[in-house]
Amino acid sequence: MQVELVERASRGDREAFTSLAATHVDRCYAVAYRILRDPHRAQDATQQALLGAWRDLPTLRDPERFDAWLHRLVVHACYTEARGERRWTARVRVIDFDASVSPDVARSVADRDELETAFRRLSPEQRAVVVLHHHLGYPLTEVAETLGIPVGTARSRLHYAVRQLRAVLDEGSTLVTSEERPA
Amino acid sequence: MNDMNHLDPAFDPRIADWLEADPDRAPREVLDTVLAAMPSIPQRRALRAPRRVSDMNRFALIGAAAAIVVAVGFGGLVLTARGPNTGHVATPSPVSPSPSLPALTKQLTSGKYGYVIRYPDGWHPNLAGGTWLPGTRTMWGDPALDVIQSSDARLVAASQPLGAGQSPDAWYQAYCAGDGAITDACRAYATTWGQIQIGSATGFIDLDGAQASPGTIKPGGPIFDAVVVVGGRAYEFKLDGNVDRGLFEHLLAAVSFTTAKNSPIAGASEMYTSPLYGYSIGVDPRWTIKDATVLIDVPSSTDAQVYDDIKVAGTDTTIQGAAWDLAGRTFDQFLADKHQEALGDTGIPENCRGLDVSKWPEVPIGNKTGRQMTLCNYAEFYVESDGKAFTFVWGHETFDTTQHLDMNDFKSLLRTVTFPSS
Repeated sequence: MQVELVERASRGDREAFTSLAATHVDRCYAVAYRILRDPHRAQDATQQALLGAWRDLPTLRDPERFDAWLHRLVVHACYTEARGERRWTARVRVIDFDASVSPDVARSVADRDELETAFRRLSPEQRAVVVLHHHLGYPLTEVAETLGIPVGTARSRLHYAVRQLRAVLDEGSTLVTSEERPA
Repeated sequence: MNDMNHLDPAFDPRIADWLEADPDRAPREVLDTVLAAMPSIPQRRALRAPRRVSDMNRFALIGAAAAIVVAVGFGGLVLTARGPNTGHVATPSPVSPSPSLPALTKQLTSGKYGYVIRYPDGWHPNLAGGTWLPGTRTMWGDPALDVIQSSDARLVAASQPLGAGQSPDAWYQAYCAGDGAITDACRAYATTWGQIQIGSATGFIDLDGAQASPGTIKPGGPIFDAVVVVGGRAYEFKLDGNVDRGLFEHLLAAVSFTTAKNSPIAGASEMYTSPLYGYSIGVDPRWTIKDATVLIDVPSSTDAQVYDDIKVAGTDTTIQGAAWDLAGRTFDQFLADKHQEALGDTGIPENCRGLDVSKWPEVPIGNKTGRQMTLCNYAEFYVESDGKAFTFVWGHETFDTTQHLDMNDFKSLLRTVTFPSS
């Protein structure tokens, strides 16, 4: 069904492309958001990718590769968006640790903030590999194919990125919450 | 998730779980913008070699090559050119300017106001917090404006729905008149204002390089202001700073119009006047209003009696209004008293009883400046007029902040306030 839509859209059928876009817009946005960590930039990247898909669809040789091809456009749109940034916006979030909050909950909140910070320190290329592998569940070969990079490069980016993120998580496991702090 | 990943040493379920919590649904305007822009974007031709080149004679090959060159060239031209018939456009490629104009490489989507605009790298966008209300004028620094700004130039934009039964012609005349009566000059706007292309629509330019006033980016420098009515909505775009008409035209040509997501106060086109206190404030005629029946100064009166209650439809917010007689107190003394009341109110959580008065922000209320006391998700605004302290309350039925009328929208309403003349 999708292959037929892709073929029709590549011949200029707007209705077919509308169906494709409606089907894929959420997934594209989800990927873009996870890479860029910013809703407005994710919207821009998603729009760029979908409009680029419409424009370049006639150049897609294998309609069955549409999903991977579209994800590649999304990732590249994210690179463009990320390069446009002068700096990552500092996120300051005050978390008031309530004494009634369990250490597990506090731990989880702290983990998430630490991960957010650590993830933002990664390059867009590293983030893309993490998102495709950890969120979309792509094996490394497919990550490499989608991004148009050698498998070794994908592996190395993933290894480095995950090591950075794990360091934060593992280091954080010794963090004391307000309940555990000595008086 | 691929189960094989769990055997992969590079897979960490904690990272996967963290990513899982991010949003999965695109805002509606993303697809709307794509579908609105698609008709104006030509598809690229696939440049594939014919399978049987030998079947083609030399002239046919030359002809095919020429056709491809023309197609690509024409495609590029259509992609960057914009005219009255190009429809609602948001191209994926940067708009190529003439050498003296900057490339518009970035894009801002204003869901609230229903447009997409491209702008140069190095400019910084800031979407409006408040809402541009019918019958009001926008001011520099107004939170109701979308702003895209560089170090020496600023573009602002906003839009509002036409009033019920209001024609575009009537809107333009009212816009021209501002706060005053509609004059003959405003009735003749269509002949006195120049025309300007704004995306696919033709609008009017009512300030064409007028002198900027003090406080703007470049006092004495040029200001440009253009307006257009599209799809039952009126749009305003202003540019000031080290700018010229060419840049204004360049920016406006890259605008496309989309479906606006109105804020709960977008329809606040009428004025409610308090029978007891005499102030007026903009309201949507569909809102529910209960008048105060007893002056707030009367001893033994109750809250249910002394406030005008304006229930904002689509939210859990009720705006309340009242006015205290200062009775010899200065306004500063009045504010200090209100702070003391908050500090002594055991019904208010201790960490919500408000900052010191000196730290209460100043807020425009009508043509005056008032002060804001915030008590967590509740706020009271005070302003002095003619020996009275007018009070406007931003209060809610629940603690669900997603249901509240946005504070910036509330402040947009406060700008519509007028006070009784003595």
